[in-house]
Amino acid sequence: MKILRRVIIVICMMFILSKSTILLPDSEGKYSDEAIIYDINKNMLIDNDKFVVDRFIIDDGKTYMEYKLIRIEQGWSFSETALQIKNDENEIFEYRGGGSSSKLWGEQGVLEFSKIEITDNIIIKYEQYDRIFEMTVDTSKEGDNS
Amino acid sequence: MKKLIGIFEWILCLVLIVVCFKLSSLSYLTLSPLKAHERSESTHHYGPSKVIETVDTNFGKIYLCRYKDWISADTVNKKFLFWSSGDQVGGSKIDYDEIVNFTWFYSGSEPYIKLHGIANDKNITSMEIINIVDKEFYYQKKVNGEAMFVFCIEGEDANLIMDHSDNIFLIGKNDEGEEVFKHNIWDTITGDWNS
Repeated sequence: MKILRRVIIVICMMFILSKSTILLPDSEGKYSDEAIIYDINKNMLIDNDKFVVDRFIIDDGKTYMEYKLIRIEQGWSFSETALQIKNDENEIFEYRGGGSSSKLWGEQGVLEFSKIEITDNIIIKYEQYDRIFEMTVDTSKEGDNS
Repeated sequence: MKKLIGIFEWILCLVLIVVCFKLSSLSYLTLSPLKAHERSESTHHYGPSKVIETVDTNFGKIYLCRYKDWISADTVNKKFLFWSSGDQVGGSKIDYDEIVNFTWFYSGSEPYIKLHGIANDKNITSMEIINIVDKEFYYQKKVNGEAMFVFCIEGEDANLIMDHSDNIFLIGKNDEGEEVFKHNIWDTITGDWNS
């Protein structure tokens, strides 16, 4: 019995290690020295899932948004096309593409948008079917550029 | 002391097995097809819709559903003893100004064609899919109590329809057998998606 449980432990540990990218958050994206970073860390509920906006980054003529989707049930990846992002002056950040990876706790990804001026507030709206959720994030202060 | 370590190791085993299960693709599977369909909708942030009709297929099931002003035909796949989400979970919005709203989906790997829709004209009682040139194949279905319909065409016929799609028409007929609606399947009619 002692051997059995230790074999199970070793096999499980090896499997978990092989899946470590699912357990751990992705390392922070690499941006140039000129990048302007805004730390946001604000979330909104989409049904029962928590959508977290981590950071906005302006770099090389593009705007990036780092996000997390925290949920218990696994399934379809986040519908990024349902997002509409605007600044105070009603200018829309146009979606250019993005990438994400699935995690034990949900999903983590980066979306790329056209470069629009970052005003003091950014309005993030999720709209798909009858789901409409909105939040305003404060972008009046630049974050640590390191 | 030895016994205590033993108990601790068994608990560790249990925790690790649960974590392994959550990490593996097994966590995407369910024991019931309906549960797979429901999870598919909830993780897509859609529904929960009302199941109007269920179609059994070679690869799993199709749930013809309605949710408020949207209709969908969600596929779930059978995987040995389990079920997983398939394709086309989201709904398309009904455009009540059209006689019939329909949309279709082709999968080359199975192969199969799934065509579903709703008849907004209440005189329509049956729908047909036909090759108008050589009448090579012909499918007919009564619309259900919610005025909705779904066709699932599997195997070689699905490929035939793709090969001759310019000649394939969807026809809606009334009780007298008169054509009320006739449309090439390429000219899919739905309202705006996701709005």
